[in-house]
Amino acid sequence: MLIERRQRPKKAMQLTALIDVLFQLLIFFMLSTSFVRQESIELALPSRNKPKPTQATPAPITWRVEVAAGGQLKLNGASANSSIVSKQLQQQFGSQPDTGVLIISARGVNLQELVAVMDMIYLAGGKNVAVSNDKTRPVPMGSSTQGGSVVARVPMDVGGRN
Amino acid sequence: MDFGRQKPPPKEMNLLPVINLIFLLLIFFMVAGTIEKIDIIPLDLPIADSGKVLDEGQIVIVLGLHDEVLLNDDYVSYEQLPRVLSEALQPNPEKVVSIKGDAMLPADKIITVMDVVRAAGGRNLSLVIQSLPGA
Repeated sequence: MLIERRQRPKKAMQLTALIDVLFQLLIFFMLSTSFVRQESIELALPSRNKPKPTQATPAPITWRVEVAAGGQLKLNGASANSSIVSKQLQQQFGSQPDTGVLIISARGVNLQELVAVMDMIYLAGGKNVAVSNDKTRPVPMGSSTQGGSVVARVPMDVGGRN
Repeated sequence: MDFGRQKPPPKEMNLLPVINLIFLLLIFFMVAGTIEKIDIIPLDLPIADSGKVLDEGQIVIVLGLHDEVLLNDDYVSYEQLPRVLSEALQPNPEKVVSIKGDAMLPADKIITVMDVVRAAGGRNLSLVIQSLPGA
């Protein structure tokens, strides 16, 4: 027996809801994603409870890099441009990898310039970096206990001992 | 005069290309971007090559261009920072302190804050930078 069914009219799928959801997701991801890759420069601070390491261990060789406003550099007191500084640092780190580098930032230096110098030293192979912001206020330097870098203000006499 | 033209049946808009496009965009943003916490204040991080991808520290200090200091999203002042920071570091001084500073900020301020972190007993510090894509 053939019962003829009435064919229902073909209904188009309701896509509006789907598009709504997709747009929502799209907008969410567009607003919340960032394409800037955030990274970090790791620094290890000396513990303040430790005795001054400079008394226990012989003072390491410390090079001094001075940064002036505008990014001008001085390596151990002599003006030099960044490629020269980086080359000399590489040579020094090649022969004595644990050479410390003290960065002295003058007034008017911005963070980008300071980070650029730190970057250069790290890329040259430096491991023991100290940062100082003032020539008059000395604070004892710590030792790099974990092989990381050290940030502290360093007395100028340590920095000057080459 | 009526020519009695046959009206074309109302055609439904074809939405499939739109959906395809939206899906493509969606997948692009999902795959290519990373979802990051947006800082309350606008920051232009310094650019460097030697950074490593690290987890953000448990304590985040944000230093804005206009003397704003945020410690874990709470506004503090430079004067309050030592006290608040040593309280935050009290349970565990090994906590990583991340410093996020604007690239145009005087380096002096960053170094001062580093010193404050050290004085508060912090041992692990990281300076947040951005790396240029393709670098």
